[in-house]
Amino acid sequence: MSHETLVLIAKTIGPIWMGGFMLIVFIRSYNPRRRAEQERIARSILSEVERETRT
Amino acid sequence: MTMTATLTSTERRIGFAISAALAVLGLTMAAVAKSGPMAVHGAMALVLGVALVFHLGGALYDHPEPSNRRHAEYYDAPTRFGIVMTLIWAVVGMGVGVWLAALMYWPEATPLWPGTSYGRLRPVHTSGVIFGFGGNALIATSFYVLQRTSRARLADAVSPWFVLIGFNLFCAWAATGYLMGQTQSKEYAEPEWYADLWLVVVWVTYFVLYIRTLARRAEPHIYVANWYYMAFILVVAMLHIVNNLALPVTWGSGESFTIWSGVQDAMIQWWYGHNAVAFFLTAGFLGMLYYFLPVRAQRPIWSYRLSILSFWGIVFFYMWAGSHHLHYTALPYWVQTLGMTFSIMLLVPSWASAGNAIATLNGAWHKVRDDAVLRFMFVAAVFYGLSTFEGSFLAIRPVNALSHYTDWTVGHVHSGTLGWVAMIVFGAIYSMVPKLWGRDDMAWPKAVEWHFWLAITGTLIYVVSLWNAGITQGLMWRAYDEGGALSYSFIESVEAMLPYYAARTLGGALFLAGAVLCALNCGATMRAAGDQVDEADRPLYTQPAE
Ligand code: HEM
Ligand code: HEM
Repeated sequence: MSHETLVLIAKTIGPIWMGGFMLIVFIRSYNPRRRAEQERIARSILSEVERETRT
Repeated sequence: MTMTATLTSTERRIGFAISAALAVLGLTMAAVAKSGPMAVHGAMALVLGVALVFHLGGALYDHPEPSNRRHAEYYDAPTRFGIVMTLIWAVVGMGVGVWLAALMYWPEATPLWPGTSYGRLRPVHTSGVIFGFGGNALIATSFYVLQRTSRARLADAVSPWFVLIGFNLFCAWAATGYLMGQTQSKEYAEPEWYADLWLVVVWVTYFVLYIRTLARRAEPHIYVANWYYMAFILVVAMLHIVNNLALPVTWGSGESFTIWSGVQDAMIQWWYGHNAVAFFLTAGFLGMLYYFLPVRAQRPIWSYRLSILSFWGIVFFYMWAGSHHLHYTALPYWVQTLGMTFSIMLLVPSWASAGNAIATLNGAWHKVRDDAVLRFMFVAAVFYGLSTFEGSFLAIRPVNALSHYTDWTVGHVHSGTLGWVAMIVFGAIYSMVPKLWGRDDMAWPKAVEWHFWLAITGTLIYVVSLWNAGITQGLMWRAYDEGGALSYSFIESVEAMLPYYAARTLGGALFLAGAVLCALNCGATMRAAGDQVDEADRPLYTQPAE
């Protein structure tokens, strides 16, 4: 493999690979069907305080 | 509650065996090295190992064993120890920082012993605050957050102690090694090969403990804070191993040669260095922010899905940004450009995190006003936003032409470390200490308010004076007269720094005073708790939260 090809791969593959990966993360995390579950996860840590002081 | 009282007799025996092995390791190191820093480090390990052998050995049969009830409780004794170590390293590391700041103003004050020279003390400061203060805080809070978000007790009782004590041995080796002139000459990775190997063992144990505990979780999901902590643990392992690959000169010498050379060495070092900022000084602390801020404000994080998006953004963009430390060097131009581009892109996930935290406080501003602890966390998020904006700006090649080699970089560093890292740590400490020592509040609630104002004033004085210093330096170095000669000699630019260095020393002293106050306040809270600590262990709740 020539040096130029190697540099081309190094220059493009990272950004493309990562751009694609970010797109998948975006689609998955912003999927409206996950909304309710995310809401529940975000609240799951809050009950902690109340539970701890109740003992 | 002491370490031994929380261990069953089997666990005490395992601890005893590990301590004996540590003593043998120390003896072997000292014997093979005969003299020099490695021999001293061997002796330190020997003394620690023997002390632990006596401590655990004396308790093998005497103390009552902990009751079976413990399985239904969080295991917080290691976190308590980690908090104490965090506070000790804060005072030591920042104390050395203030001393260094004073030396820059008044270099003649350097005592005659080489161990007190600027060059040897500087890494004592950086390692002391980053690894000693930051690292202990990360490990201690990670155990706390992991258990509470998973509603599970730590997977076993011996490995948390191994991780904490082993990590602190590494920090002590690092600091004492520098005083004796030992260094690998890689910034933030100065300790020598044997200390590096030791850290690998400690870190793998940490990772395994984390994963095993997560596997036992009683919650269906893994809360986002854990992702950040895991990224911190995993990536730091990867960075540490690759950057520290080295060949020892001999098995008995505390000296080695890195296997990397030339510009590859520089690139590996700054891939490490920048990701140390990302994964040591950012990812784990974001884990802290995502847990302690919502809990303290009693409001869920503003957007959970944004927190996921910014997590992956931070993980993937940071990896490519290291080359911004090597602008205008022998590194190929396009690699510098790549680093610059990714540094600018990084602003998006960074601001997403900072904004997410600040937006969480919407509707709770009265709490921010009244509660100094929450205010620490709010200010941390603001400085996180400010320092990442500044970082992305400094990464732009022509801007870096002005800022590089100047005190602007050091100003940027401390806007991140004082304003962001230290503030979130103090917020977390004030949240945890009363709970973990079974109190309603800190012993001196007013002192928390004082600490807040000392910290914010100190940070602002520090950062603003170094911005001025850096830009002045940069402009003086590039000023030419009509004949094309430099307008200023280098020494003139040094003299111009004196007022800023004096101001920085003052700012640092205020910040240190706040940290000392925090340590005293925590000490008073711990003493006031007395035996109540035993009752402070909190029961687990195995029901998933609704
Ligand atoms: C988007 C985020 C960030 C970017 C793009 C960034 C970028 C930069 C740049 C361009 C430099 C100067 C390099 C040079 O001229 O040598 C630098 C230095 C530094 N930054 Fe940041 N920064 C960011 C966030 C942070 C944060 C949050 C912290 C601390 C908590 C931090 C800690 C440091 C440190 C310690 C150095 C000094 C490294 C050395 O020893 O030379 N950075 N950063
Ligand atoms: C009392 C507070 C502090 C003071 C007075 C202080 C002072 C200093 C001084 C004088 C230097 C050397 C700068 C130079 O060589 O030009 C320095 C470097 C550094 N400090 Fe601090 N510091 C403080 C707190 C912290 C904290 C809490 C952290 C991290 C959590 C930290 C991280 C660093 C780093 C990473 C460097 C190296 C910067 C570089 O190479 O660009 N400092 N500090």
